[in-house]
Amino acid sequence: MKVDVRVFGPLRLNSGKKGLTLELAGPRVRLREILKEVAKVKGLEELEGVAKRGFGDGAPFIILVDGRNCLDLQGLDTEVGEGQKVSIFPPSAGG
Amino acid sequence: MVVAGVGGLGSVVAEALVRAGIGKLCLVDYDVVSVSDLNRQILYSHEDLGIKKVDAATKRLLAIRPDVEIVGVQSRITSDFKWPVEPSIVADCLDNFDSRFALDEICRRQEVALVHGGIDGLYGQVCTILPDAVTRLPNLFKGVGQKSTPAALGAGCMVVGGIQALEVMNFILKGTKGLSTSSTLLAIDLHEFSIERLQLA
Repeated sequence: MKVDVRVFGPLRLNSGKKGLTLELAGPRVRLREILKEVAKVKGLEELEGVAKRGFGDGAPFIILVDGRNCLDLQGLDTEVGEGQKVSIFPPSAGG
Repeated sequence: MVVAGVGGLGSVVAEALVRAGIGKLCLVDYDVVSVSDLNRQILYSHEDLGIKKVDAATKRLLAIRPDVEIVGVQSRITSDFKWPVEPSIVADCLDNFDSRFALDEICRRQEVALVHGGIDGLYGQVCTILPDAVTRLPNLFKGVGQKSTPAALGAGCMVVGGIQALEVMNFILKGTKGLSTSSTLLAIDLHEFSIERLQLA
């Protein structure tokens, strides 16, 4: 199955990529496994820490699955299927 | 309308709306003008240091257009905050997510549209939360860390705040049908000069 992942902010700057399309085995894959795959790309390695340890005291990134914060779903255990979109962006707190 | 937070973004939103001809504006901010604000908070100048932001902002805005009616409230935004006016729309120009979540709760309760903006360095976001929105700010930004003091430049504030001001004008002119960012997050990247739309649930 194919899943589109878009990255924003420093992730885009560090990797030189706007996103990638992952080809994964199975009808559905947990978000945690998707992050591990994305973290193999140069410049996106820090996502491996999120995949392994979760968000801890505060999320440096918001991860949306089809426009919903994964923490409003099942967190990193959220299952993602064919054609769904994952977006990873840094929330800007300043005003 | 209400501008919540009259810092980097709120200065731009307020000045743009006053210059565009808005009749009445309510400004809410608890802070006083500091020297570190002057790199981006365009309503203030050196002579305003130590003065309440709502007072300095009111003086500046009235100097631009003496006929505009401005109500200034020196206060933090908490969930029990009471508006001194009945707002048609609110611009979120606050500088932390705890206050934003409280503002979102007030707007949900009072069925008022909320134009959110945030900036950190060369990145920012804008989205509008309608009273019946499924995804509200506490959903969208659930789990975010409270970073101490995000950095921002005046030029970046002008872009993000300018988009917020245009969205408020869309609402004033055409109502909710005129809005471009309801159920949509604009991801603004001023490093590569891109704005991308993320559809929210």
